[in-house]
Amino acid sequence: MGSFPAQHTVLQHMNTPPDNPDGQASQTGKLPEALFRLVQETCAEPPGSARRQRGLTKIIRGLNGQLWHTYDPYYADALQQTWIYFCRNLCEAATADRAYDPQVAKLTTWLNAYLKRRLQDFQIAEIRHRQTTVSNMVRGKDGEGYLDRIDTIAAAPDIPPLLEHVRAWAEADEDGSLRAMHITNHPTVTAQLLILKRLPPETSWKALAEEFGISIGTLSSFYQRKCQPRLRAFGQSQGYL
Amino acid sequence: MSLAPSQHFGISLPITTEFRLVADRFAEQCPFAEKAAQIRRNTLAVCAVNAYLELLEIPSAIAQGDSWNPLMRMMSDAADLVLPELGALSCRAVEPDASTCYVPPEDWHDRIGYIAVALDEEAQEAELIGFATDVAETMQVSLSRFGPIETLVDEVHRLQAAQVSSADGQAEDGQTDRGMAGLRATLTRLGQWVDGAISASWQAADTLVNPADVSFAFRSAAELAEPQVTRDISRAKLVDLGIQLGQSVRVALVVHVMQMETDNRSNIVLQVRPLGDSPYLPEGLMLYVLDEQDETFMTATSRDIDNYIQLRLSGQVNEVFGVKVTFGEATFKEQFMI
Repeated sequence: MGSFPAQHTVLQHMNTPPDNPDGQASQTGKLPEALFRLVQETCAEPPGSARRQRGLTKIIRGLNGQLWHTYDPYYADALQQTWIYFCRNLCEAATADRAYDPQVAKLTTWLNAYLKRRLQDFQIAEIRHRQTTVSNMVRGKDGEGYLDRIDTIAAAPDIPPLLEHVRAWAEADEDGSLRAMHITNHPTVTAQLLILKRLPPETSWKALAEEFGISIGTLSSFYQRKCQPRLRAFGQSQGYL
Repeated sequence: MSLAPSQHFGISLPITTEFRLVADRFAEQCPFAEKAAQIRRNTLAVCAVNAYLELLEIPSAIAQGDSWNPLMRMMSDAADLVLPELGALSCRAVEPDASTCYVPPEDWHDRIGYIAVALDEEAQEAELIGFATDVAETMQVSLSRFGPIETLVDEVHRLQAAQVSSADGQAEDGQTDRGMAGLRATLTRLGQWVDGAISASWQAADTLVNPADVSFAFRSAAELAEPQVTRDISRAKLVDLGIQLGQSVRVALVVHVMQMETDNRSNIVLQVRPLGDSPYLPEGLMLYVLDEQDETFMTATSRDIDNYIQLRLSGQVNEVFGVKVTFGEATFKEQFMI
């Protein structure tokens, strides 16, 4: 990491006292102390416990908007990796060499260091990627788009075979079971009818409720419990997985 | 409170390249623009919730859900995320400035709970705004009904604990009534009530609750219009849910059975009514009807303005269903045979 930019070094706050691990936030009152206590309380709980998980949630919430930010297209990816690193290594060193130590660095400093390394990794990967695949690149309208866009070939606008397949299956209803299943006291509102009505572009639940004079709750409950299992089973039998 | 819950209780996570690629791929399979946009947003919301669970090391099985099934996401507004052994979460996408969360009717039942996810694609950020265990068959659910996202953590642990005690129960007595959380249910035969028998714990409804509250409240307009009921009877049982949140909670479970002249069907109305000094139920008391497999079939949840909650069902002679009343940690459960 020799080329790592020096403007926010990891060691800058090495001697921050433990009761103030987050000097940056001290401008906003008691947050740093509260955050420090939260880290202690969270790590006192066993991994996987509800209290540990609640604590991690609270700390991530508290750090929201306080980490290093760039407009790199892969910033979100680097940030997600940083949160994983945070959760795995705050209390125990699961993926890092050492767990977080408030005596060594502020929380934000510790995480920013990791975040910047991940951003750098993405930059290096992108440069390599560009060098080898320049001919495949298609820039988005806004100048973004660092990914291969071989998938931009327009999709055919016609109905995909999947939906045609569902329609044919429901209409044929070879064993008559979709026609046999109906809403209690409404023999005409069958599973077959509802499946065909909900085939995209589907009729809204509200319109169906008005058409049949049945509440949306009754209709959707029937659809969820009787129709969907049949659709799942059909999909599975046809290899739509 | 005038502040949106998100400002205090949510959690923001990045929308990664991977999420967007998956969402685009799923959406491209749909030729209808509106439906494709829905699929895309559903996928992003599911990915964001999954990423949160991954951070907390809560096991999930994203590929098992309807949202990952090419046929099912076309045939429903699917945004489910499966937690193995526990059930499915519903991850509902909302606009960043929304005050309500849309929950489609096909997601009203059989869900562990609902997470409102505000998608801000420009900022590449998904905010998990809050969690609700029940939306009471409402399409536009006020975000004020959603609790802090930590309540999702609590619910997952509660379900895991129930799973363990249920497994213990099975090991002990070999029963397979999952969802029982260790409680043994008794079977009450409604047919015998109509025949005049009264079991010890069930009494005539008007001895426990105000007769005026009972009389006609049970009849739906259709039933009043069609005088085909042969016999009907009301029974009530005192349900003591113990002390919850510092208050003693005693309610009456009222069961009204109407046997129909024309067929072997019975219509059944279940009510939970308060028995203390307050004419209102405490907020968040839940009434469930369970099917034979002990799966939730219907639910109702009390608000602080409800003086009772009720559910209606109908069934054939000898059909079995369960009734569950929960409040806080307390659970009451009983099995019925029509």
